[in-house]
Amino acid sequence: MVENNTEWLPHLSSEIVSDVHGNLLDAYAVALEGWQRGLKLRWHVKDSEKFREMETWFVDNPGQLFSLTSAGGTHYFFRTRGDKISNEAVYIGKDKNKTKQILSENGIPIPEGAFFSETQSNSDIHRYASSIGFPVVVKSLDGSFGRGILTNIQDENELEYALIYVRGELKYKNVIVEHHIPGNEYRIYVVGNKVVGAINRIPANVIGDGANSIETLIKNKNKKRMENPRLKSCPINITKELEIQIDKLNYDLNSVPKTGEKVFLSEKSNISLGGDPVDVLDDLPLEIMNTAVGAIQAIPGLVHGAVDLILSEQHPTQYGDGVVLEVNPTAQIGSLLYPIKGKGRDIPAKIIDYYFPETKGKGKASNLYFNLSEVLSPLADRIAAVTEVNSVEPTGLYVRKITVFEGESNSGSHYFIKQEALKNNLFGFTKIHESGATEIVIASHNKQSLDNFRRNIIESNSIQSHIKEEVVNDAVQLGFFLDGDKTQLINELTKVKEELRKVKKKKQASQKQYQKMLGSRVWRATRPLRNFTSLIRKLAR
Amino acid sequence: MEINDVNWLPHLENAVPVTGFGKKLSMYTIALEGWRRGLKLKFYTIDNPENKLKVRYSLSNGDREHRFESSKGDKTTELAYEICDNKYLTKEYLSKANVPTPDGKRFTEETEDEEIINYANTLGFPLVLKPTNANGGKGVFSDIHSIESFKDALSYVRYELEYMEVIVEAYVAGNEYRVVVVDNKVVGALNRVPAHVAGNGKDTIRQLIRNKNRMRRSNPHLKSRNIKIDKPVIELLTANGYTLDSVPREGEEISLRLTSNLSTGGDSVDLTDVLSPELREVAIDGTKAIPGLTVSGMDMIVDDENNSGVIIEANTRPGLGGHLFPVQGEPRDIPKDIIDFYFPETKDIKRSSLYFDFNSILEPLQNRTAEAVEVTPLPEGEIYAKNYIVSGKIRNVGYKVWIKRQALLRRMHGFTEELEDGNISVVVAGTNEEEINEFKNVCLEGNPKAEVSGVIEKPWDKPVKIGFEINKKLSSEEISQIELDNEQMGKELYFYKKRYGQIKSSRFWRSTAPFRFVIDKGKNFIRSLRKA
Repeated sequence: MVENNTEWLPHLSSEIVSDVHGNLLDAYAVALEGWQRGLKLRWHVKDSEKFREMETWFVDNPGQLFSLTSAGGTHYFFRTRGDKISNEAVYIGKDKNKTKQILSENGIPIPEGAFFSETQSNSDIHRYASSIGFPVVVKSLDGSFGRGILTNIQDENELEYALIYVRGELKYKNVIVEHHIPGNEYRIYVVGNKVVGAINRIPANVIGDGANSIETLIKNKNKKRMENPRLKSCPINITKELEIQIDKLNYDLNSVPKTGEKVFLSEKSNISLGGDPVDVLDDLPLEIMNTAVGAIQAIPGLVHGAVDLILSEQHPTQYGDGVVLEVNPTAQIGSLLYPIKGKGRDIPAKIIDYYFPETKGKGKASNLYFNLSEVLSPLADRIAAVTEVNSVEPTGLYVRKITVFEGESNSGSHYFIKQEALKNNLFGFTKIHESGATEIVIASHNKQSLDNFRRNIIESNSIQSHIKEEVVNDAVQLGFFLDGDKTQLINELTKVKEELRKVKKKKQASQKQYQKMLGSRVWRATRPLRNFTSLIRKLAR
Repeated sequence: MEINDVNWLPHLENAVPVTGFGKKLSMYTIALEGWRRGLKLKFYTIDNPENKLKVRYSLSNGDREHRFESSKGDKTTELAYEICDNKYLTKEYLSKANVPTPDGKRFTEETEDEEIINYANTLGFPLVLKPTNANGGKGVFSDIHSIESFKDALSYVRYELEYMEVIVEAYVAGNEYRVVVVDNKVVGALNRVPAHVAGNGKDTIRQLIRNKNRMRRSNPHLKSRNIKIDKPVIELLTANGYTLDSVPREGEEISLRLTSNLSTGGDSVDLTDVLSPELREVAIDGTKAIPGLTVSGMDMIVDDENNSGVIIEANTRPGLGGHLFPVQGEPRDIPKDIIDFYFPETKDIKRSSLYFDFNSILEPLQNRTAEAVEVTPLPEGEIYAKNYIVSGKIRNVGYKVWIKRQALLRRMHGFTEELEDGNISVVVAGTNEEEINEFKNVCLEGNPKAEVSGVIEKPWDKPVKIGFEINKKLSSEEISQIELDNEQMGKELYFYKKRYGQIKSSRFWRSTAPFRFVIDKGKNFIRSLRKA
């Protein structure tokens, strides 16, 4: 695979977000950016303060609602969407027909199509589809998360089936029928009047190396996706659909594609179905940028958000500047931060610049982060309504690693280390190696504090032994954590439990496989023969 | 004196989490009182030069916010704090207002020892020597009877403890009282009694001490302040003709120590009701004498015979634990008086029976991850609670997690836990009585994986913690059990994998591949025929 030219944002390394659950990634990335700039960061439960008035959804679990405060005031955020976006804009974004109507009024290219309410019959729709020409798309008006969307409908028959499914079975009576436009799919993020990130979504694929089977290539690719904070929850799954797709290309899972050959495993470009996000910001044609910015500006009260559009190869005259499929005021930005190829784009920084222009450029050197689950824990049980993260100075961080060899690593000396660290306002952690050496990583905005700590540790009676000191660039979590601490033990226990669950599953699977094999007719039938062979072997010895 | 069990104020019983015991009692109980009246409560940490963890809290009614440090709120001024912090200034202000305080004089750093010794001689013995600015009884020498002991004490305080500034004052004999004044009213008076036990005619002194310590452990205020059997205890017993194995007569009081500190086993005895009007006046006048002092703990030496008292110290943050949980006498609800004083408009509000967990709130502050945590506001309206005991195949199928989600979705509070008999207990509380009753059906329904066979409904009248928790009792045995299980499971996995690998690569398996292929094809063929 040649996809090694990836460059993620250093201050959002996979280590920093390793504890952040998939759907909290968006909120965490924006909140962290504000916090690192020295803003006051508070996490809220549902309906707390201004969130009572803001349009939000699925917020029973904390980690999606937060506020940032500077001397100038407070702004409230739901995931990536801040309070400068009006509720009206959110309603429009949810209503696909309204979006189309407003975009079209503002001269933004959209797929040609029409809205059909529940009073209109299927034959009305058939008539309309023939008039604009196949292929078409049928979209339910109210379905979300891709539910009730059927694309690439080729003829009357398929259309009839689609209508029965969407209007009948799913009971989405209100539908939109529009041109199906094949082409490159883009997700573009716009802040104000600027495009700040763009990815091309490519359907799930593998690239041959002349040696491995498609199955192995998929496995390898999934391994790589596991390392990606956005894609780790979206592996390429081997499904019936996938096998049908490669069958169309005259392949099966055991085929070995040629070196460099790209094999598409799906027609759909959804990231969640194994699609690849590829950063294309630097090569984005000007017309596309203008279309995306135009789409955002067309929606009243929408000042930042994502635009999904298609650049069609087949309709250069009608859709040459890109055609807008959707406008999303509460967009996910994970794939823009962690593309599979290209650069991660700092959307959180652009959003914070927009809300707090006075903090522009601050806090960039900070490799300090905070433990999200710990901050959210009083909210998760609803004991607290708001937690405020300990604020930090938006200046650079000095990080040192001190390794103490042969020191007594009893808990007493470790508590002394923690005490000294907290006294000097340091962040960091300790780690005990099997050899008995203790690694202390400490960080501070103030070099003097680091020196104080070092002096006290060396002078103290508990550590008189050999010490090594290095300047490192590790990311450091807020707080000071001792190896073997209670919280750490609990975390480890949770991990062990999770591991146990996985092992159990695997065991069951292997057991089944084993039983199946033992039970197979051939294995049973050949037993006498096998016994005979082993007898011969024994005799030969 | 008899040992009674802890005498709880009814509204605090089962409503003070262990994290709020000991030194944090004042903070927790005042915060709880305000929160239970519907005030907005926030805990936060403050920056300080030594970077120590300093937790403060604030209460707000929407218009007005008051900030507190333990029992000291922001109506007590910085000046009042400075006066009380300096024993000499305290004396000055008290004398100026004609509030009785022992005769005495302060000596600054520059004063020669000789001058101090001369003063001591003119003042006459017995007398007291103490540093001006030390806390917690440090360097205080009372009842000095001779010039020789005075000289020793002086050099110890000035040159070893390095408190150069000292006070010399007349020693007043009597009982030491702690009197708490809130808003010009005496709301509590305590006397501290040195460690002792009372005989019952059966148990040895050793056993009596053990009994008393058991009682102390259940007292939130004395929890970690046991009577230790150490040298001074044994010496005193010996001096009085006892051993640890003596069996005192019924009602006989055995002194164990001379010092009355609670931390070494002393008892707090509530005397609020017997404090004479004259003594009350001294405490109130003393508080008034110090400008900006609103809530105070006055330390007085009381001469019971003559019904007179002198003030020896004034405190801005009196600890409330001894008043809330006295070993003898009535508990005093001083948190109520303090909140009445700060938020008089909430005086008539009926306090809620809910309370909040303290540990979950302090933890992010202690780890320095969070700077402030706002406690979930008190739900408006009367609280109804029910306890449902659920039976069936409900363990290890995600039942409790599901119940928690259902409760939180309905904005209910409470908890769920596994009972020893395998049933699961669910306690829910909320403002909607109907919903609380209907939750029985929710328990009965359960998540798809659970098979509930029955639900028993019980009343619940204990206080309920806000939020919803799954009570886990994770013992170290459990932890090691899980680790062991994991290891065992890993071994089995390895076995099956190996076996599987062996079979797959065995000659027979490989050599019979063509057969199996044919058989599979044949099976498929037969299947297709059947379908057709």
